[in-house]
Amino acid sequence: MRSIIVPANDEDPTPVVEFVSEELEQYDYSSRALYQIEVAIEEILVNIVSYAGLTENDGIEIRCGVFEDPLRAVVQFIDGGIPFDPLAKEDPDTSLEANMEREGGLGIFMVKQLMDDVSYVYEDGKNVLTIQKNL
Amino acid sequence: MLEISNTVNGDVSEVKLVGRLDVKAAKNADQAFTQAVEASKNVVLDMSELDYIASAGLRALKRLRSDVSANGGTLVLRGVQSNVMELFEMTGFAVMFTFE
Repeated sequence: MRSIIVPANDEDPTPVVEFVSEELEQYDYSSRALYQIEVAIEEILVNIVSYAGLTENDGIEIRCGVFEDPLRAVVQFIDGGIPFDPLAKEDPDTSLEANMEREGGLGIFMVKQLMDDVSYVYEDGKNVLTIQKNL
Repeated sequence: MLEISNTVNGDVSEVKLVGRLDVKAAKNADQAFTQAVEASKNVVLDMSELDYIASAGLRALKRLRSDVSANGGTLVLRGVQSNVMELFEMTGFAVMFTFE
């Protein structure tokens, strides 16, 4: 898998979206799948910037690859911040009342809904979050 | 990249969003939405050329909805694309809004 490093204090998803789009370029993917990957990228970056306790001197490593059977994009987010498993949290209540009261809390839920597989592991002092999306 | 234009017609502000309402753009959108609510009671949001939204964008729309309601007006979301609409439905936000 190829990788890039983006600043850990910037939630702007654009550089990562561009990197992943380039990796997928030669494959036959649906625009819906790419859109959903883009949403997942934004939500995960916002989450890392908010919770990992990193500064502008730190980086988030993004790895991306495409695998077959089935054709799928795999994107990994690796950071050396505070150990934090975003998947441990219960899914939010999405009723009208709960949504009106709550500020935030939907991002990782959206990632779980949109991706075909999401996994988290803390290894070698790093948070590693992996998403997979069938193309 | 998000382009926002606002046309006031009587008591309706028509705000058109073109491009991507991502977490960065949501901050600019908040300002434009505030201006629209100050200009008129009712707001129509033309989303026919909005290609992308995620949770920060949905929250900006929720704030707009609350401001319009507090003003005694109505908010209509027009021409929402299917990829974007799926997120409204998935998050339960669809029931907050009137679509046309």
